[in-house]
Amino acid sequence: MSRNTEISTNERTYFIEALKCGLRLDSRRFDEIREPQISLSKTEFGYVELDWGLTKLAVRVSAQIGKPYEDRPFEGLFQINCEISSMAWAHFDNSKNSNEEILIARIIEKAIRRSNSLDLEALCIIAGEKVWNITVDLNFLNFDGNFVDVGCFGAMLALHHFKKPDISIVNGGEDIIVHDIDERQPVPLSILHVPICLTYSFYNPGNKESNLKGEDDDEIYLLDANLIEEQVREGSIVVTLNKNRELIQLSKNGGIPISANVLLDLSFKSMKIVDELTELIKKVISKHEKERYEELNLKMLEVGADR
Amino acid sequence: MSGDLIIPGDFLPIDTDSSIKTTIGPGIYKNPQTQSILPTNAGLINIQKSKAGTNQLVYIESNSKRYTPQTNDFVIGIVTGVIGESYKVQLQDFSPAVLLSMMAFPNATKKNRPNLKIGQAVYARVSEAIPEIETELECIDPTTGKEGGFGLLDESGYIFEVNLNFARELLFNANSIFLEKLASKCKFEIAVGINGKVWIKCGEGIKIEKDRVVPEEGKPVRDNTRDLKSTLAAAGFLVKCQKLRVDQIDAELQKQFKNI
Amino acid sequence: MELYSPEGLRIDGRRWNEIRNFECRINTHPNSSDGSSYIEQGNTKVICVVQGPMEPALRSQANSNEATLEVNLSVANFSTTERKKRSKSEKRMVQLKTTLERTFQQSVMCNLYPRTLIRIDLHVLSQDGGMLAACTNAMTLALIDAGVSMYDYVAAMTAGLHDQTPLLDMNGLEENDMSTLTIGVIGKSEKLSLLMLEDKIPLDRLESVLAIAIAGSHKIRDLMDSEVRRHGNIRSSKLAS
Repeated sequence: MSRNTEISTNERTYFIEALKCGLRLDSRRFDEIREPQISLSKTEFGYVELDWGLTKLAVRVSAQIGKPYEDRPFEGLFQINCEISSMAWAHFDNSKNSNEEILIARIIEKAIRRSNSLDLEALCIIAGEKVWNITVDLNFLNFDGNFVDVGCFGAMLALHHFKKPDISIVNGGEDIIVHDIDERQPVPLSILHVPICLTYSFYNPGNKESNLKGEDDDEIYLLDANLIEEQVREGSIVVTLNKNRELIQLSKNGGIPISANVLLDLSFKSMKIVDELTELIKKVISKHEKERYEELNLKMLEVGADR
Repeated sequence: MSGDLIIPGDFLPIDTDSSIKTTIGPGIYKNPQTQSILPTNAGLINIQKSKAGTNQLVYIESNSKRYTPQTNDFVIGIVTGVIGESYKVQLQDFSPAVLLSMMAFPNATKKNRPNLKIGQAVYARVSEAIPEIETELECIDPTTGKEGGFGLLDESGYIFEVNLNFARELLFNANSIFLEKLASKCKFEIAVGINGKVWIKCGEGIKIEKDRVVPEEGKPVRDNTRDLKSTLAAAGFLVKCQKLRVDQIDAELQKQFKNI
Repeated sequence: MELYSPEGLRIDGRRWNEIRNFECRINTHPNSSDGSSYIEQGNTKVICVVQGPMEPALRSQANSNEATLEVNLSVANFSTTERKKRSKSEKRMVQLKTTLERTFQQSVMCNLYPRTLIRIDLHVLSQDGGMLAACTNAMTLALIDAGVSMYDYVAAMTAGLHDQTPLLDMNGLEENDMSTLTIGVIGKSEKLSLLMLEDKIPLDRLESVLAIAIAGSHKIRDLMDSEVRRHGNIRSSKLAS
């Protein structure tokens, strides 16, 4: 079986010509992302299904108790696991060796784990012995471009949604009791900041040499490329920002060169979308919380004076 | 009867009288030992009886996305390479490549070879489709020996993919409403491959400009984007039509051609 | 030990806009390879060896339109202060390798060598910050030495941010503590071919860090260029006589 897709010259030409006229094949603006469709699980904490155009992702966060690293006895453990199989697109190999898959996993890991978005010290139970081990499993179900942005958004959403069981320490630190969720309300994770990744793809309508020599500056940038846009693209850059105007990471793995001014410009423009997406996460989670509150009639469990 | 849903394992609702000659089509399998006929695909059954009642035709209309080459099918393929004296052509993503001999063109000789580049699309006929060996294509009309509409598809048209069922509908159904409705909005040229690929061009399509044209002072800028937009709108319309009911088609057509 | 004293001196005595000692040599392995180079940026030492364009070992690597670049990056176990075994298939290594491959795919004129493979082997002998930048510079020089056609130099440099001050050319200690930006610049332009930032910096400080990094890259390009010309002049003088 051929593991290849061929884009015909016809499609490629139409695509580039449409870009030159300011049109995108799916009628979005150049700096418009697709609308994410979120569904949070009502029964389990930490399970989220995310649809971003035709790209589909299922995320699950799970927690276990384990031993911390020896050189970091106060910190919990946190892993992000990306599962990209040929279910998402026949082009992906089922073995994990493809460079593309490793790049995607690395960028998501850098954005979330390396930037300390999850407070690891809050995961500590008994220093040096028992800590929470949080694992985020990203299962990519369908590929229509842009796994990085979707993966990062989905992971942050699931981490917000997840609640770990409440624990009590008895016998002076000897034993830990893990309370069932029916016994005691589970506890949300402590998230320090919300990184949002944005991928810009670029296309060079002119010829290669003038772009490299720096004379022409008319490359075209698209935000959130879909499948065909990704296959035809000549370069990409992933910008990860959070709401506090902090640049978490920047990654440009080859592709046609871009000028520094354009880079700065894109980063500043991205802030608006980052704000919107962060708001979306907060809104969806708080709506879900409220619904749960009403459904389970948690008001009765509240201990507080009614005065 | 005709138009009923049938699934492998069901009995075929046909006349098993031995005096009636039965012709079977796609989706039906005749067991060579027992001579019994069985449905092998899930879909809508289609039974046609001749007026005299002596002949009947039975086949199953099913939908799929993966095309298997059959002899005498007209397909659109994309050239992906050269192997020896043939072009390697791909009919669908992730399908095995098929061969298009360089001699299978009108007026082709060893000295006079066609000049196809990688990425170009051709309209061809499947000449040999034996499952055990590599399928072969031809770009020559078998009866006349001339081009007959086959050959390179112009680079100014747009290519997109549809389900096999829809491709068959566009190609074989002379009363297809989709193309009629589209004709009311723009003039177009269309080539339908039964492997699900469709080539379409409204007006002149794209004018491929080798160098960027600097607009001259005082002259209006040539608007060749209108054809490009029409072509993309037509393609979008046909793709969306696969999932719409008949009454929604007009609305979709209006929506696609809104800005033109 | 403070990374940046109030008088404006860093741990190694440099100012904020000074690069480390930069040494480079080309054609260091004339017998074993088509092109080679050796780069020292402070204590970071990298050897690069290029073979090609040559017949690809695997049929799948033969691209009918352009050359395929294969980069093998091996970091020596003794390269850091503590001996540590590194696997080649570690995610970080694969990412760096892919980044280098893709960066050079653009600046090497690959369409002039279809159906061939250009194999580049990088050996990092000593790491003290700026590994990716040193590897990029070494690759540029080795490809020039091998005679592979390129559009322009790709000069790479690191820069970081300490509080409000941008610092140029980070060494190992600084890299561990501060966020570092690695960029690869094409020739004398301001076009970035390679870009990697792995830790947080405030968005509003990006411009200053980028500016000093680009200036640093131009300086490196000049240093590499003068070495290449020096080497070229020596060889041409041998021809004349």
